[in-house]
Amino acid sequence: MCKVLNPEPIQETIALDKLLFEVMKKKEAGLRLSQICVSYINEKYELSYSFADDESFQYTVLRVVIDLYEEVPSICKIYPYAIFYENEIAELYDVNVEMIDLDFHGKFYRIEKEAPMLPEGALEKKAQEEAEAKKRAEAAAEPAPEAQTEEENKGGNN
Amino acid sequence: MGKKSVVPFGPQHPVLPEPIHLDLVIEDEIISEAIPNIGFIHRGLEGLVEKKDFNEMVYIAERTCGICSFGHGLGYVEAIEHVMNIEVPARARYLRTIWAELGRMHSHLLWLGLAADAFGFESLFYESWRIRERILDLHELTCGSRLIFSVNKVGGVIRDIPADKLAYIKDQILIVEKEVKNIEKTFLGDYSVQTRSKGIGLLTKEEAHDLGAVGPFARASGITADLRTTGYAAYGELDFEPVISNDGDCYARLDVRIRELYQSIDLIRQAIDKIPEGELEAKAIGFPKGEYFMRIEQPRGEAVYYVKGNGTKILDRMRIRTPTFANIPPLCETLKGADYADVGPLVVSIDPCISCTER
Repeated sequence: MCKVLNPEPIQETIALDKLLFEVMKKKEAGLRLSQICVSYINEKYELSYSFADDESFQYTVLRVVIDLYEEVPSICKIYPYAIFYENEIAELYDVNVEMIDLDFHGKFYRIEKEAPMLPEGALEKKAQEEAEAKKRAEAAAEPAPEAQTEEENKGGNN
Repeated sequence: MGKKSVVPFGPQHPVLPEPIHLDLVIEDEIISEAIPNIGFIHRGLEGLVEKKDFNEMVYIAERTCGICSFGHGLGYVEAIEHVMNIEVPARARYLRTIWAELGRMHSHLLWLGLAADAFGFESLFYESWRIRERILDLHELTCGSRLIFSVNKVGGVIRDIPADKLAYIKDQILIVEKEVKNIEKTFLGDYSVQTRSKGIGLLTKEEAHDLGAVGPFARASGITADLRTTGYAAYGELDFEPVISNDGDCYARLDVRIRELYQSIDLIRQAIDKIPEGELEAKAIGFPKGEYFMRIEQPRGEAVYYVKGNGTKILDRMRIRTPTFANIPPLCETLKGADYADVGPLVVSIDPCISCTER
């Protein structure tokens, strides 16, 4: 008989801001990036980063759930060959992946239709969410009117 | 220092059975960089999951590729069976193993022919494909078709192989074994083959690991991973060791695949000897709810099948990550420093399957 090694896969859901740190830990543990997959579930993106240990056959999946407008950092500085997976998810699902080293800009599979794997209406929803997020960011960047008056008052007293 | 120039390789090229494009940065006929480009035949098979029920998706999965079609069907049904907690009957698991190994043999023989053609040995190409015909005849005998098997279903298989046909398979693989021994002498002993493959396209074990290489391509660089040792189908009940080589060149890739042919012959014999009588399928009750990442060892390496069900007959997601998708980055690494004349055999040495890659 061959020596069978088949441990149960490990899956952990992490926050987006922990992604690079957790991926770095996998790299340091000597794991191979097996694949990156995205699913469109409940109007959110479910990203799965899978890592394989080729000696123990342990399979580990890091799950990140993000809103449509959110940007995912590229992991290609840690795993250079992630560029293919990242270009794939960017083209098929229109996931915003930041700073891919070799970015095909939506021409990886040469598909005319934008985000062909997203259901109807999802792109419009994404555009709407992005516009709202932009508005929120602009509002947060502007100083609050009350605070401004206080500053002005202080300036006037001086 | 010579002048740097970019030479396009593919998507249409005599050594390429399927379209892949490489931009080769060349200096004095030596490649300094290779930038890959795919996307000429993307079909969006995964998207069909929104329209087909999970039982029909078996046939879609099988049509991902004509060469490793059985494996794609197997990976998909195994993933669904994990989600639905289905215990597949032993006879069905053994039948799946026999068909999977026949599929591996026909894939490796096809590749050997293509490799011989790539380094200009046409008679060896004909001979490899002639041997492969015998395997295709066995497919036809047991499944009714030569490439797309269509025998897997969720819970088991839809066809049995009766005892007389199992005996016939044993006789035929004995002939194949003798014929492979003949071509092995030429593949591994011929001077012209050695000059085109020894020391060409070196990939060290560390590079193979760091760049995510899988399958015989990785095993030719000393990586021992072979997912059959995880024991899916009936592999856990058979005796075998992963075939590896430590040389990491094109010759090592030939050597590994030829030895894997003998390994497949041995596994088929073991499976035929041990196959128990019994049911062909277990009843699949309900619909899949949950998710699973199933990995199997396709002829070209690790393939990943992800399914996510929501308790209805339509899955939320089905994703296939094929071995060639993982092997393109290490291929680009092996091209660095290679002579331009070696690009053809080197690209073929990873056994690229672009229709798998683009799904």
